[in-house]
Amino acid sequence: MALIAYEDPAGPATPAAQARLMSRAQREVVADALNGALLREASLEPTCAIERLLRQLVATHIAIRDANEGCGEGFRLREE
Amino acid sequence: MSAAIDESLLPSSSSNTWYDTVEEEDQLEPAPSELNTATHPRYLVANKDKLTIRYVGKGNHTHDVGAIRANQPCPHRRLLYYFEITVLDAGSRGCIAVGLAGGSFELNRQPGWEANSYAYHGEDGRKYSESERGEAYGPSFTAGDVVGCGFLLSRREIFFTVNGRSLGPAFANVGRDLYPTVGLHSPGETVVLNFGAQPFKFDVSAVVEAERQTKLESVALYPVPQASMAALVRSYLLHYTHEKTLAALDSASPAGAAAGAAPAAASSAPAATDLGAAGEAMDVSEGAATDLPTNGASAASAKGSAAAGGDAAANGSNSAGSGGAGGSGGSGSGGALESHVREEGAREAALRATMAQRRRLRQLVLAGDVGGACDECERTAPGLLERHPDVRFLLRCQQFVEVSSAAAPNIHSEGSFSPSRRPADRPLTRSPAQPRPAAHASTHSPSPRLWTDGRHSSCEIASRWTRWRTRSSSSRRTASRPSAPSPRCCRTLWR
Repeated sequence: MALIAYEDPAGPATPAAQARLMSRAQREVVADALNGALLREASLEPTCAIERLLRQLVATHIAIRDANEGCGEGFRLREE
Repeated sequence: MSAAIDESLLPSSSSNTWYDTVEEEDQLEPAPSELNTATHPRYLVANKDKLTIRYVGKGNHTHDVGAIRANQPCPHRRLLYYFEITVLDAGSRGCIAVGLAGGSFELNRQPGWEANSYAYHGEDGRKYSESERGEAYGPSFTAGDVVGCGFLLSRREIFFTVNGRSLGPAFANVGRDLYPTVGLHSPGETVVLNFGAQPFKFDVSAVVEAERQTKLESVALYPVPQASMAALVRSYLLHYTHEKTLAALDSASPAGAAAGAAPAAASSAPAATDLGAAGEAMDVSEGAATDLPTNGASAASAKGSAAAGGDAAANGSNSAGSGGAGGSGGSGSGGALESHVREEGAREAALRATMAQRRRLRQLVLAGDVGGACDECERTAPGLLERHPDVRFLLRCQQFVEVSSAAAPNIHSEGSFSPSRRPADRPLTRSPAQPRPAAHASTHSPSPRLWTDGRHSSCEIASRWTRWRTRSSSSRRTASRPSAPSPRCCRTLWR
C-alpha cells in the first residue's frame, strides 16, 4: 500500500507529468482510448478521419523538415 | 516519410496535445543568448555582458582578425533566426564583418573568407563566402548603424539588414549548425550584439508572416473535393458520439450530409430525390440504428440506400446550380462509385450502431465515474477490457486518480463518497438527462486536488482506495456508504 499526496496538484510544486495525469484533460484521453477500443471491436478505425488528417500534416511537415537538413518549423495549427 | 516517427511515442488521440508537443519540443531547442568568450583571439576584449566586444590588435595582416561566435548555433526548428549588431565605434578602417560560420571556423580570420562561413562586411558593403574578394551586395556600414543577419530556415537562405531594411537574399542552400559570428579587424572597433533580449530594429514578424503567407498560397493551389469538409466534420461527430450535433447538422444541410456519406458526387442513379425526402430518410435510418444497436446489418442497408438517394439529390442540385460541373462521373466508373457509396454508408451505420454505447461510456469517464464505466463496459461489451489491456490500464490509473481526488474539499459539505462510485439507489444505466454523479464538473475545481487538511488524516484517502478495491473485486456489491467521513475508516484500512 502506498500513498501519494500532493499539496496542490495543479500548483508549480507538482511535476508536470503527474499534474497532467490529474488534469481534466486526462479524462478525455481515457475516454478517447475507451472509445477507440470499442470502435476496434466493431472493426472500425479507432481514430476519426480529421485526426488522421492532422497527424498526416504533422508527419508531412516533419518529413519536409528532415529533407531540408532538419531546418524549418513544424506544423502549427493555431497560427493559421 | 521519415522512419524516425515512432507511433508509440506520439501521445494518444487526445485532441490538442500532440501538435502542441511538436511545438513545445521545437521551443526547447537552445538558441544563442550571448557570446562564447571562452575561446576568442587575444585581439579582442569582451565586456562582462558577453555582448560587447572591442578590437585591441593592430590589424596589419590577414591573420590577426578578432572574430567571436555565439554560445549556441542557430536553432533550426523554426522559420527564421535573426540577430543584430550595433556598431558603437568603426575604429580606424571599419573592417567589421557580421554573419554565420560553422563551429570549426578559425577565429583569427574574417567571417566569409573561409568555407562554411557567410558574412556581410562593413568596409565595402560586399558579401563574402569562401572568398577574400566578395561580391557586391549592399551599402557599407559604419558607426551608429544597426546591422542584422537573418537565417530563413525553410529555404536555408541568409539575408542581411541595415537599419531595419532588408538587403535581400545573400546566400542560399547553406548548411546547418552555423553560429552567429562577428569579426573585427581595425583598432578601436566596438560593436554590441543583440540576440533578441532587446527589440530588433528590423521587423522580424513581418518576414515570418510573409513567409507563412507564401506557403499558404502555394498550398492553396492544390484542389480538394468540395464535399470533403462536410464529410470530415460528420466523421468527427460520429466518432466522438456528438449525436445531437450531428442531427442538427444534417437537418440544417441535408445535401451536405448526403455528400458526407458519399464524397464522390457522381452516382449513376437517374432519379433526383427531393432534398427534404433525403433528409427524412437519413433521420429514419438514424433512429433505427440507435434504437437497435445489435441490428447492424439492416441499419447498414437502410443507411446505404438513404445515402445513395441523398447523393443523387446533391448531384442534381449541383448540376442545376453550376451547369453540370458536378455530374462528370463517367459510365465506366459508375459501378465503382456505387460500391464506394455503399461502403461509406455501411461504415456510418456501424459507427451509429455503437454510438449510444460509446457515448454512455464516454460520459461516465468524463464525469469521473470510471468504476461505472468499467461496469458498463463489462455489461455491454464483455471481455473488451481483457482484449485491450492498454485501455484497461489507462482506466485503472484514472480510477486511482479519481478516487484520490474524490477526497476534494467539498466532501465535507456533501458527504457523498466519491464521483467514481455509483450510489446504491442509482440505476446502473443513467440517461443523459440525469445529473452527472456528484456534479463533479461544476462544483470541483477544474484540476483534482488531493485532500490533505489536518482534520482528516490521509489514511482516509487510503481507506477509500482500499474499499474501492474490495468492491471492484467482489463483482457488483453495492453497500451503502457512510454519509460522512469518520475516524473509523482507518480501521477499515488496517482490518
